Amino acid sequence: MAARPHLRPSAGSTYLHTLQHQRHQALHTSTPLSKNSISIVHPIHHRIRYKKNQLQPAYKDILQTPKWDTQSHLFKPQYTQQSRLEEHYNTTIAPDLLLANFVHNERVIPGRKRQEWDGSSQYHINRPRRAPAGSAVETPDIKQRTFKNIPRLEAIWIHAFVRDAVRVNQERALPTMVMMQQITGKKPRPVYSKATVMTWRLRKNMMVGAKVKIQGPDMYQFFATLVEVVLPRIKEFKGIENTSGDMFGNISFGLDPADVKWFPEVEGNPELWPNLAGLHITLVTSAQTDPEARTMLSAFGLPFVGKERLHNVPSFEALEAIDRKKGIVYNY
Amino acid sequence: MTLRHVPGPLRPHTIGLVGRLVQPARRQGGRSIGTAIAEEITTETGSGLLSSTTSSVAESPASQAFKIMSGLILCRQPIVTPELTPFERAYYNYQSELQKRLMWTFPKWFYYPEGTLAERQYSSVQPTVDGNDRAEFERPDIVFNRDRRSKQEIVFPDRDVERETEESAKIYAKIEPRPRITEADKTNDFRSLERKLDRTLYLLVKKDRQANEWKFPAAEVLNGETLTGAAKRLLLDTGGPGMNTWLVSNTPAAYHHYPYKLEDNEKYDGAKIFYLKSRIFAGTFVPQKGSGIIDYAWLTKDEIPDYIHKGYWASMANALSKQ
Repeated sequence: MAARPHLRPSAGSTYLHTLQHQRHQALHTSTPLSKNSISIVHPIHHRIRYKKNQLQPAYKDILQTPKWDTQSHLFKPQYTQQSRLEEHYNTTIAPDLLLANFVHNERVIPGRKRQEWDGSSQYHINRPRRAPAGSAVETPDIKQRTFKNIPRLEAIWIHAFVRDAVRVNQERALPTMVMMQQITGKKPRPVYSKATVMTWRLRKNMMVGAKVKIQGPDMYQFFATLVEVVLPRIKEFKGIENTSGDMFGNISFGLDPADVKWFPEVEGNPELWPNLAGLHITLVTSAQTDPEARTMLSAFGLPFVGKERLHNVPSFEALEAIDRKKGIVYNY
Repeated sequence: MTLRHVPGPLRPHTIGLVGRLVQPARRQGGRSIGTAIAEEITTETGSGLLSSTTSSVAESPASQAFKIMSGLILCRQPIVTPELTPFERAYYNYQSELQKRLMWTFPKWFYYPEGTLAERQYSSVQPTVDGNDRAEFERPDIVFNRDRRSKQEIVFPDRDVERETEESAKIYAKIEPRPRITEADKTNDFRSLERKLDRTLYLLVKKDRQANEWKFPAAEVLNGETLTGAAKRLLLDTGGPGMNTWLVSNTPAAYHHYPYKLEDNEKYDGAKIFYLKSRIFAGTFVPQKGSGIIDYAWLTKDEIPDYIHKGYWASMANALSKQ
């Protein structure tokens, strides 16, 4: 069978040949040659899109001014006042956590990693490595606790699923978006369904809720309201379950529609909110394990209840015992 | 007698466990034992072990036996936020004004629906925007009765005084923050826990002696006692039961050691103090009889160097909070 040089360039072909080949191909297709994308590295398959009209000189200042610059049209003043909770964290919580989490002679506890094949079969070559033992995905190492990685509240995700948006009308999700904007001070973005489920009358790309991520002063303001105003007024509330958490320091819990009404912004105008939706709240922390995250959050006044869940993380003593078998002896 | 009380010529660091606690002489480059675990201090090692090592120990150079003590860094956390510096105040003011300038226009139609009484009351008190207010190169940018060149000023309608109840009056009452400078600050009352509200306060106690009168409280770790146990006993014996405290961690936060003068103490060559951090939430420190404490003071980090000597300060300074 004859070679097909126009599809598979010979070994001696150059970059120019490839370009010519592409151009040749393009002439016979409807793909426009003047597509607004460029490639800046050699394999041409990765192209960067740009808007041609933005290349005009008038856009230069706008596009080149970074977001944090007050001259930028995207600038948003955030640090408008002292954050009470953040100050409390800096002066009181952080030094205490550093001391309380300290472990003498601590070392890295390795996470579950993908395993190599033993090479007993020729088919092991180039086969993706085996899944980690006891886990579907790799887990991060638990590093030594130092002053550089004291657990800190990083962000809060708030998500709401509006059932009526599926049952009645997609627009039923909009009041929930407005409500979330009221209580967080940040504009949420809509959540769209990913799949079609006929039994629920759910179609793909329907607006079914909203979500928002808050950080910095907004986050501390929301957290203070939650811990000091909202949660104490919920009659049934006993605390966040200790079983909550994703093992890596992020704690989630939910608020019922009846609980949401205790936010001052909602309580002030109850007639504006005839249908409230519940909220899923995730507290994203930089803690490496859930118990450490809970310790940090409880210092802000968030109560936790129930039995502490113990994860299958090898203890320091267990690791030491393994090393002792290998002949490594620690001398301290 | 426990191994800890073995005097000088013995070299207890050859006895494994105790070696961590009673250190070899500093000249031999012994490591610091900043994190000695309290349980291990109170060793119940049999005398058999002691006698078996004595012979080898006698030949080695002299080492020192230290008294192990448990100390307390009892602190009151800041109650109010730190005072802003002039720069910080200016920065926050600038950012705040900028935020108001860039803020969305108040959605009147949302909070005061059209045609309602509330809307009429609200609209009647709003200032009208001057459409002819032309500065150089600028023209008014008026949207929904707001000139978007500047921040929006909203006036709330006066409340209905006639229909006001006691409860609603309470809600509308102006909040008067209590002063940051308290009575204790004005009278310079070092014994009060209400002084320096924006700083961490640390307890120092004064004993009736010639030198080093002021110290952080400390007590010897007795037989069968842990570091934390000794700290709790110390708190009760010196300050009384009227305090609500919380021990932050079993890990010592600071470590200080000093030699005894030969004529002072025959049993020990010096003392090693492991300071545990504790927080006081309520109650007061009341010096107890028999504790030897004649005075006490709640001090900030800045004030402490005036009370204690330089070497002691060097050991303690890093464990104390700047704010």
